[in-house]
Amino acid sequence: MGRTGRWVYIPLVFWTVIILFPIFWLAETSFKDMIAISTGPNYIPWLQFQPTLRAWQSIFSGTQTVLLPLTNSVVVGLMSTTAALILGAAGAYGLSRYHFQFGRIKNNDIMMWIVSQRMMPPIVTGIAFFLILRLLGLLDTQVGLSIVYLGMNLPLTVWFMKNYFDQVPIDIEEAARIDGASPLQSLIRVVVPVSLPGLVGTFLLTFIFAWNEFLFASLLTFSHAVTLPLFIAAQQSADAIQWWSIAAIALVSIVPMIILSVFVERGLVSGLLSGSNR
Amino acid sequence: MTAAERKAPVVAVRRRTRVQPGTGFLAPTVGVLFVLTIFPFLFSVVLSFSNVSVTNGLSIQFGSLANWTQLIHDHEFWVSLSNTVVFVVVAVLFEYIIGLLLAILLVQRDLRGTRFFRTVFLIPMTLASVAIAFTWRMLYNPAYGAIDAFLRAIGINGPVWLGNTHLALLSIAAVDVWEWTPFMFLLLLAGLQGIPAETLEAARVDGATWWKSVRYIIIPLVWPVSVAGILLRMIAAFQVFGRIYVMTGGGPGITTQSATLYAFYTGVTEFNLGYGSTLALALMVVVIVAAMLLLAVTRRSVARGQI
Repeated sequence: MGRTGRWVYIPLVFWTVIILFPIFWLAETSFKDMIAISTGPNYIPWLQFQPTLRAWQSIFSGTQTVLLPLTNSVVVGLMSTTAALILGAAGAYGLSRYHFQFGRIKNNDIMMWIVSQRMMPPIVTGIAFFLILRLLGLLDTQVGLSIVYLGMNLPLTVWFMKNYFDQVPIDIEEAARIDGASPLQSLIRVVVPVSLPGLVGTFLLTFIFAWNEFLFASLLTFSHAVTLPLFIAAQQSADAIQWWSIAAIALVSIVPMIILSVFVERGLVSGLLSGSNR
Repeated sequence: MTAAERKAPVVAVRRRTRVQPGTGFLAPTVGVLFVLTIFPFLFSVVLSFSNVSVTNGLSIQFGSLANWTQLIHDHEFWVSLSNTVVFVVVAVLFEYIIGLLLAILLVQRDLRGTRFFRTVFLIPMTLASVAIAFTWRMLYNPAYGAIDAFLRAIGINGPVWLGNTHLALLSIAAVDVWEWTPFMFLLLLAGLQGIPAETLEAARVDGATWWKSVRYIIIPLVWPVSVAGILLRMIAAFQVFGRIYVMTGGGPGITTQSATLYAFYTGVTEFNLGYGSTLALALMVVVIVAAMLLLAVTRRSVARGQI
């Protein structure tokens, strides 16, 4: 397009600023104190306000540190995502490579049934899970929340992985089968290695969903198993809102995701869009 | 008995008695989904048709329509529902329009820095909506926030965004637009890349105005992918909860209270599990009807050649 097309950068840069400014603002707030905040919006550290590490010290060493919610978020995210990936990849492989027929129900109907579970608002199962987990003694535990997240992420894993497996050529598996491998062996030894990019992308996407989830966490945890999003929201009930501490906690939640976006941008974008191109 | 079974009974019998190959791969997933989604859903349905009491231990007496009759006369439910619908329509509409405009501007241009922009546009979608909501709550703050400060600098007295009964819901919807417009943009851009350059070129040569080539060429061509994107965003927006919980808690009054927020307060804060389930199920019915309406209207207008 050359020179004539340069103006198309204007809307792009404009939207980039709109995206980045709030994140920049949040990062700055975590280094402010009450004076820096109450004297109006200050943007330039040292010149307009004196940056302080107080907020960062308080969230790592105060009475209620960010360490417990951080650990919970990591553990619950890893447990639920690993389980969803193993189950979902197997299910997706079955749907991709075999033709099922149960009465009038065929592969497409099973896929539709799995995908359509997204239509169910999480609050529907959330209230039921509250009672179920209470009866099982799993309320406010990492295991309980992980089980619920497994149910939330499994349809997505099947969906993403089925799209991926459909594009993996079947020839190499057939070769493995002729050499005497069982279906499970050919999945683990042949299909999984060549599908690694899809598996990693799906793992990261579903991990992000678990990491950011708020509704189930606020229904099903309250002290031992609280995750980062819940911890952020809980700060606001304090008498005076400590903006700087919440900002620091919010950053603990979002910085890993920004790093992920930068390093695996391609995998995440194609994963996010893959579901919609059908 | 299905038609297929009547026509070919031998095959049907054989299929039923023998385990189909590959079932071992699929069965665990289907089993887990039954336990973790179908079962809680049915449990929720039972709760909504029961008198649930938690005062002396848990007691569930099935066989009551009380919750559903209460729902019909519950003014707060209808307000919450209409808040949710306004939120969905405003958020998804702006996400689609801005996303489409950006996609049209950028299609078939070899820009430098594509990877940089894609990365930036991806970031909001990967962040916790609760963290984002908190950030915007600060930005909207009339005393400390950057938005009103900016308006003051150019001589405008900014409103109290989240305290104003007319503005609060729209201000929250704007945050959804911030987070999810890039999704529509990237989706539509991918869809537009599939259109041959000659098609767009031909329209330009034939003297079609910009608006006409958008209306009669681009929109029809990206319509399938648009419907998918709108449907996905619509379903997600109907479930809005964390954003509102952090930014306003449903206030001022109940002007920003979404259906999920109302069900949450009822079920958990007031511990009214039966009515909370009823509110949640009512929202689910609305989501399904809205999705079916969208698909039906789309199909009809495609058939009539309007799109």
